[in-house]
Amino acid sequence: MTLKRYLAVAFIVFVVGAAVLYSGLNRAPFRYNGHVPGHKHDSSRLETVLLTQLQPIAVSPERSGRYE
Amino acid sequence: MNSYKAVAWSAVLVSLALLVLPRIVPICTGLTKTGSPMQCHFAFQAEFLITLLALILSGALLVLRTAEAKFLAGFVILLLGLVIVIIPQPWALGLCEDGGACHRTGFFETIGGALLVLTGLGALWLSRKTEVE
Repeated sequence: MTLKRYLAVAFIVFVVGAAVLYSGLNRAPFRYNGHVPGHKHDSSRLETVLLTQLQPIAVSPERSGRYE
Repeated sequence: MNSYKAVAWSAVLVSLALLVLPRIVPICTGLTKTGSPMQCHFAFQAEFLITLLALILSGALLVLRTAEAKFLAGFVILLLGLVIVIIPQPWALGLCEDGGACHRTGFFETIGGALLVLTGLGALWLSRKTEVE
């Protein structure tokens, strides 16, 4: 094989490699963990409540479900 | 098959193995909180491009005829092997800091880079001998 022909083949190999890199075939696919980045559910405003900040609620004996 | 051809073919095989390594030993596939890929993803994208160049130069070892050209190709393969070893280092592009799956891939990548350095050295040595003769 002449050098010129090899350089042509090498250029094709490089372009194919760049295409593989672009398409992500060279690596394992990403793991999204059930959510897609940029999805509407990512911007949830649900706030967590600390258990220590909860106030005890007074429950009357009739409503507690225990009848003796 | 003489020793020069054996070195050239082993450089091609090592380059091919390095190209498909992240497919066989996967790197971190998770995403960061912002949805962007993790740090190791970019390091191995760079490794892929460098390895592609190493593959082309390793193939050129089989095509080139003059001793000077073989010598130069061997030298560049040696440098590319060094770059492959350097890229995963924390002071270069680096891998994920929390020690994910990418560190295992990086380990094999470093071994492959070192083998590529050795094949580059072999090509240098053998083409030097040819030049003396």
